[in-house]
Amino acid sequence: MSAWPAEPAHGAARRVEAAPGLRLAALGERLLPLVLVAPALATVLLFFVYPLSYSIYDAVFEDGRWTWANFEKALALYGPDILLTLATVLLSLALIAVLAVAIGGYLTLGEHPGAVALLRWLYRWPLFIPFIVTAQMMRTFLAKNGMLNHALIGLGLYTPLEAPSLLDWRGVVVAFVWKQTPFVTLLVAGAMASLDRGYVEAARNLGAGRLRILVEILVPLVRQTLFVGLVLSFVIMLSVLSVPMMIVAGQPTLITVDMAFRITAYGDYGVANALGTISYLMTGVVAWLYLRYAVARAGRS
Amino acid sequence: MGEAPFLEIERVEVAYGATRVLDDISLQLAEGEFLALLGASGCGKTTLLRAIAGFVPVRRGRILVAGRDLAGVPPERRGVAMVFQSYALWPHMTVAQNIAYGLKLRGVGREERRRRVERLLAMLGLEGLGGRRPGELSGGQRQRVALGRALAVDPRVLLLDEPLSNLDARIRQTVRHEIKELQQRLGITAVHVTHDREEAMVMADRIAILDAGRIVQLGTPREIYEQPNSPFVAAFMGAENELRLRVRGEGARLWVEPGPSWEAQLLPADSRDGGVRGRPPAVGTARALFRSETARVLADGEELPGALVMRGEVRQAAYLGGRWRYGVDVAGARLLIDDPRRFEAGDRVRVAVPAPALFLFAEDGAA
Repeated sequence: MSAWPAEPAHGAARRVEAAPGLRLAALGERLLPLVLVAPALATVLLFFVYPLSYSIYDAVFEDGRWTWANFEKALALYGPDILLTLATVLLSLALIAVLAVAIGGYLTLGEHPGAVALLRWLYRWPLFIPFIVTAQMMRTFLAKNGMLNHALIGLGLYTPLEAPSLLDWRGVVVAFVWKQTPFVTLLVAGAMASLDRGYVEAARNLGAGRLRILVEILVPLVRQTLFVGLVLSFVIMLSVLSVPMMIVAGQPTLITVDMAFRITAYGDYGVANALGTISYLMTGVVAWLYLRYAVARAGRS
Repeated sequence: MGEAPFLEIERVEVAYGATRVLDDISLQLAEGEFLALLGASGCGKTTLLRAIAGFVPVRRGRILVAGRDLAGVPPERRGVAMVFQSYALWPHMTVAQNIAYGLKLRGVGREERRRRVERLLAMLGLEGLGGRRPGELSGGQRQRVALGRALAVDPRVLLLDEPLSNLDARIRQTVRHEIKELQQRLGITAVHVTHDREEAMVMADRIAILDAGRIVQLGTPREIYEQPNSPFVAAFMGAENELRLRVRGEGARLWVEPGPSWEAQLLPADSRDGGVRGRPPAVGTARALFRSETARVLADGEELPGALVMRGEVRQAAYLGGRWRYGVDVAGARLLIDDPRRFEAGDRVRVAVPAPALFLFAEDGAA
């Protein structure tokens, strides 16, 4: 028993002796990760967090006072455009999902090697074409006197006078789908190709046709990848300015055009920032849905 | 076979581009028969199974089930069910959904599906696991679910692609008996691919040995084991010790000429009367093969008439449980010999192989 009290004192003395050197080393060890991450952290803070915070601040504070005025004005002036933006992007997403699954499914289940190779080569092209070029192409293609109508008139489907112009939200949907489908397909087809071939063969062996295999086996197995592709596409489409600006003539249009207009025409950063905050909220909801889904999946596995 | 063939494979040829994978394969299975396709990796056994299932196009020949030619019939309409090596259980479905999938495709009602799945789960010893996902099961349970999924559709032919290769040895021993018993009880015609000799012998009514895309021997497990028709089959069935002997037939006896580690000796040549097996040449060099467990080390002064006796030196020893396995150098070859007694490395010993345990084949393949 008598030896016990002496032990802590002896240990403490030793700790005190070693402390300066150890403390320095420990400090260095603790600081090193911060030093390494500092450039990236500074970039994020300077070029993302600061502008984002500032734009939100600018939307809700005017003359140093808290106000909803910018939001009220944004909703009054651009309420239909906000809804149109959401509807256009969601419709585009739905079409992109269907097309990506169809193309990915054919690449995985197709039985004609020539057709599969041709499709694999063709579908990626739009990936390498910028949005602004896509928009320009779509103007040529979808205008009242564009290539599409020429072809349809040539086929006798309607007369030149009846030819419609698709240069409105429909044109934006076509452009978005054309541009983003390859991106989602690339992810989905890759996920499908990496699945055990046995999953498909087992279903075929039991009597499933290819469409059924696609819907009941492949899509559920790649749904996480499909979801990630769609979330990323949602964010990209919501932020594209060139497509609605070049395709949509007049109102209603998408909110990226409204934001640009508020700034260039009126220098009205308050309403522009309020519209920006609304688009952050839209992407925020999607990000929240994605995180909830990812966490639920991680919990299950 | 006696009965009319249920599964017929007629001169089937399969090729991937210019590479011929199966060459002139012919087989006939009676209804309810269990055939094992046995061979080394790359011999074409899985390709044959996949050709029956319809996953691999047949370049030439025919595959018939109950007299119906399957040419041009897609996999989903062949009425054959396959158990995959990886099991290929769909991870997003529960065990019950996996098993019921084939029934759902056949339009079986929900209640009837549930009843049949319950019955299968009980038959396979998987009661209470219907609601789990495949990822929550052990390897043995997954294997049984895969079997249940295949059996649920009452297939006319069951194809088993190395279904036990992912199980550990202890479980494999049990499951192979269970599958065999189930197959016999249900009377399903089954084709089983394996590279495991013992598994094929335990499970199959007949075994087809494949080598380089051809069937090199077809017979009952006992025929294949006791009467291999080539050095390849003998070695594949465990006779992996090999020597070259100069021999000369003399009526019912075979004269073995003296070699670097053995004296001239006379062996009985009639395999039906305790003589050597295989197809020894009348005169010439023979490949002599035998199994480790059929040879033994002779005691000092001991003689064993009718056996091939050789001199050798012990190089290695490993305890197998109840007996030792020795690596013995004989005439420049390393032979593996089993014996219950203990010898040390460096011991000079005499090794004896009884004539009925010796498989002799002409070196050039000619009889």
